Amino acid sequence: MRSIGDRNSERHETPTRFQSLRKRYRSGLHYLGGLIIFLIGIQILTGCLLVLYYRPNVRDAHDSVAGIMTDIPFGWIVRSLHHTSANLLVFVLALHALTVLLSKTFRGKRAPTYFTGLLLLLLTLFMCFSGYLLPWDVLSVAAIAVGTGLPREIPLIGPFITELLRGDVAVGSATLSRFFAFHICVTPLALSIALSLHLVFIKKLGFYSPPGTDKKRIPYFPDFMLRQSTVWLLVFAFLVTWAILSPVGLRAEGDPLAPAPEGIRPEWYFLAAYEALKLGGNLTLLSSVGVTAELLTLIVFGIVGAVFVAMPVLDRKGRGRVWTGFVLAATGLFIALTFVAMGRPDPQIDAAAGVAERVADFRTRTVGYLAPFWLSVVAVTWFLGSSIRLRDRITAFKMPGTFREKDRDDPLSAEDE
Amino acid sequence: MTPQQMPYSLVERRTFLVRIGAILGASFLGKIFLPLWRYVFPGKFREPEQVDFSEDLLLQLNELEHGDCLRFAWGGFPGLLLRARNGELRVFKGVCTHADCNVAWRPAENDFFCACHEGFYDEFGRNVSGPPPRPLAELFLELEGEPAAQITKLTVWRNESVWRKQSEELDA
Repeated sequence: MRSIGDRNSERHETPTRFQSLRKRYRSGLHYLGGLIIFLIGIQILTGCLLVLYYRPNVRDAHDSVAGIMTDIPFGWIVRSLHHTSANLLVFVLALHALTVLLSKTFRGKRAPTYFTGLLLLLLTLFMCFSGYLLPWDVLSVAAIAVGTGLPREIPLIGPFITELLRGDVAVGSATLSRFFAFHICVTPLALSIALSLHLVFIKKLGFYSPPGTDKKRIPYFPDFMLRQSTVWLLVFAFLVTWAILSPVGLRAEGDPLAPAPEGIRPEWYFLAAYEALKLGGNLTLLSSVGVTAELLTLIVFGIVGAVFVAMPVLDRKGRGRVWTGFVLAATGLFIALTFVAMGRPDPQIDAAAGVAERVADFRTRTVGYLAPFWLSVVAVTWFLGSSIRLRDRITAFKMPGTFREKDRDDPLSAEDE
Repeated sequence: MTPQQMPYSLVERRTFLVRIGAILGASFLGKIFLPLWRYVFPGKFREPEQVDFSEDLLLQLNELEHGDCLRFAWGGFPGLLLRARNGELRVFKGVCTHADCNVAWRPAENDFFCACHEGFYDEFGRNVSGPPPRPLAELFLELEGEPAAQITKLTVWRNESVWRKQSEELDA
C-alpha cells in the first residue's frame, strides 16, 4: 500500500494496475522507442536505395521493381528489407503505443508527447498505405482503389479527400504520381517534423518514472546507447536473415481496368479494419435512414480514434480502470478481427513472370552468406556486451545507488566477498 | 643455448582480443557495405561493344548524300556516321572530348561543331579549334554490300580488336 504522502507527491503519476507489469519489463520496454528510430533509419536508407532505380510511371513502375529484384545486385535483399522492416516498424509502434496506454505515461504534462506520438503512428500507417501502390501490381491497384474510395463516405469533406488521394476520378497514372510524391516527399517531411517534436517533448517534459521506483538512472551516453546498439544490431541481423530466407515476392502487373482479384485482402495491420467493413456490410438495419454500412463502420472507427486522441483528457486519477478496460477491449477486438480475417482463404494471385525463379536462385546462392554474417554479429555483440559490463562498473563507482540492490550484479561487490 | 620461455607474452590478452574484434567488426561492416556498393554500382552500365543498323537506318544511309551525316543511337550517346565529300564512310561517337556535349555536323562548313564551348572538329574528327583536348572517339565499321550505293548490312564496333576477337571466336 502507498502512504498518504506518496499520494500527494505528483498529481497524475499515480501507480496503476499495470505498474507491476511496467516494473518487471521496464528495461525491455524502454528500448521500443529507440528501436522505432532505428527502423525508421533502415526505412530511409533502403528507401533511398530503391528510389535510385524505381521509375514512377504506370508504364515502367512494375518493370523497374522487377528489375530491382532481378537485375540489380542485392536489389531483392534491399527491397525485402524495406518491406520487412516496415512491417516490424508497424508492429513495434503498436507495442510502444500499447505500453504508453497501459502504463498511463500520457497523463498530465506529457500529453504533447502523446499527441505527437499518435500523429507519428498515423503518418507511418499512411507511409505503408502509399508505398503499397508503388510496385503497381494486381493487388495494390485494387487495394488502393478501395482505400482511396472509402473516405468518400465521410460527409462533406469525403469526396475531396478521395480526389486529393487519387488525383483523378479513378485510380490511374495520376494516382501513382501522387502516391510516389506522398511516399517519398510529403509524408516523410511531415513525419520528420512530427518525430522532431516528439523527441523535443520527450527531452523537455521528461520520461515517466512510476513513484516508488528509484529515480536515478544510468547515463544515456554511453551506458544506455551501448545497450541500445546491441538491440539494434540484433534486430538488424534478424531483419537481414528474414529478408534473405523469405524474400518479398512481386505480383503480376496491375491493370486499373481488371476486376478485383479473388480473395483480395490488405496487409495484416489493415486486416481488422477490412474485416470490420465486411462485417459492417451485413448490418442493413440503418440503411433505411440513410446510414450506409461503410459510414457506420467509419463512425465507429472515428469514435474509437477520437477516444484515443482524447485519452489524456479522459483518463484521470480515479477513472483509470475504465479507460484501461477500453484500451484492452479495443486491442482485443483488433486482434480478434485480425484473426478472423486471417482465417479466410488466401488470395490466389499470379506472380510476376520470371521474378520468383530468379530470386529463389539468388537465395540459394546467398544463404551460405548468413553463417559468416552471424559469426560477425555474435562477435560484435560480445564486444558490445563486454563494453557494457565495463561501463557498468564505472557507473556503479561514479554514481552509487544507480543499480538497485536486488538487481545489481555489480562485479565490484562480487570481488569484495 | 636452449631457447628460453619469456615469463610473459608480448601481446596482452586484451590487445589480442581487441585485434580479433576489430577484424571481425571490420568484416561485419564489409559484409554490409560491399553489397550496398554493388547495389549502387552494378557495373553493368557500359558503352556498347557493337551496334547493328536496323533496316530503317540502312535505308536512310543508302540515301545519304556526300558531305552529310547520319545520327544513330550508340548506347545512350549519339553515333555519327559521316559520308564524306569524297564518298568515304567514317563513324564517330558524337560526344565532345572537352565537356561531354553532343556535337553537331555542319554540312556547309564541313566540320563538327560543339555549341557548349565553341569547339570545332574537322571532317576526320580532329580537334582543330576551341577547347577540345582530343579528336572525337572513332568507331569501327563493318559492312556488307556496295558502300557507295547499296549497303545491306552494317555493324558499328567500339574498336577493331574487339571485332577481330569476336570473328576469330566465330571462326573457331
